Amino acid sequence: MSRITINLLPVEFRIQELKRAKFYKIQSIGIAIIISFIFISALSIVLRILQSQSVSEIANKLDSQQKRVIDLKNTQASLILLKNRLITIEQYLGVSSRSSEVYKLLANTISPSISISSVDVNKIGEVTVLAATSNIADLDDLINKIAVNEGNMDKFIFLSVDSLSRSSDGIYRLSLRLKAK
Amino acid sequence: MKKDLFKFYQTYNIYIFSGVIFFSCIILIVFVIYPQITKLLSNQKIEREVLKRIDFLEVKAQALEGYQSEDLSSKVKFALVSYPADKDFASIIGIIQNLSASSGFNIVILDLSTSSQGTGANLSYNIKLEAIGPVKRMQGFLDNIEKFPRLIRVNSIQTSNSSGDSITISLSLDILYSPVGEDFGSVDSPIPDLTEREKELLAKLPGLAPSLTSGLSSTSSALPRGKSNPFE
Repeated sequence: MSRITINLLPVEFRIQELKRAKFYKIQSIGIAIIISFIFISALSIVLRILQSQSVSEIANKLDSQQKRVIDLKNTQASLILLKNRLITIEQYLGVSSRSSEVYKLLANTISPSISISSVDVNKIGEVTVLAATSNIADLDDLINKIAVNEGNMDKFIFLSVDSLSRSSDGIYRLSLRLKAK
Repeated sequence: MKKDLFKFYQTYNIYIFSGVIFFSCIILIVFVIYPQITKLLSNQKIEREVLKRIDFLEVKAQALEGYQSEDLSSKVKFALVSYPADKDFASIIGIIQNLSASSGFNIVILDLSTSSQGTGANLSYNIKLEAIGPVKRMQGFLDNIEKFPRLIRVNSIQTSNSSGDSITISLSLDILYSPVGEDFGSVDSPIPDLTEREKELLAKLPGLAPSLTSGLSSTSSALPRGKSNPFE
């Protein structure tokens, strides 16, 4: 036999009960949310505390490494000084200067039959040569070697015969000005 | 008053409670969670950089500790002998005398200039050398000067034939030197790497350098000093 239930409570009371149930539901959700947020806040604070401990350990390690390097500052200074010196030594040691190169080039170009009275080579490779010979062909050959010879043409950029004279004893005297590349 | 408040609360308790929860969460986010998390993240970045710096310093310290201080000091000494920090008038005179004598040239005039030329750290002082010697050995003399471990540059050359095989030369030589600077790097600056060529040069220098110090002692035997008995 089915049971018959009759609710004798007034309607307002029922509405109030429903409202209370709804409030309890919202209250429990709200409490859960606020507890979660409090948990997250506490977690972030704990993580920061742990991180600050780790940071201070790292800072100590950094200090000790810095001290280690500072103790070796003399070695570093020596290395830097050595490197600076070696850069320049490598640049110049055994490397001919411009005037020296030009002199050697000229010495190899001028044949032994020509007597060189004087050679003047300056810092920028400008040369003045006073030469003398009894054979004009030698002088001609010299000028050809400097001005026309394929091997030397790209080495000298300027050639000027300042004077050419022949003395009564048959000696030809030549004054040349050159500029090497 | 109290009754009114209680009635008001009972009517709107859902909204009041929700509002309190909401604002509490906002306060927690704004004053606790957000600052802590941003600080966490920024500190992590700083930590990474510091760890990187620690690694660099450790490698640098190990590399520096690998150098023998005595060996390094002797290498620096040889480098400073070759390219000194100051004008070395006394030793350069001996060197020039020795070079001239070994190339068969006799010095007539040796003129030292005390003034410096050049800019920055690369300085030089000038020596004018006048000497007489064989023509055939002129190129060898220039080579000897330029290959000598003490850095000397031939500035200008003037020659005139004295007689036959003999030549009078006038050389203007730049004697290089460089004052030692004050900047030797900081803790965080990297240590310089030596190239292969520089290491080879460094290995050669001690072999070449004895000739620098022997220059003064061998000079006396190389040049004629006049009669052994001046009273004859």
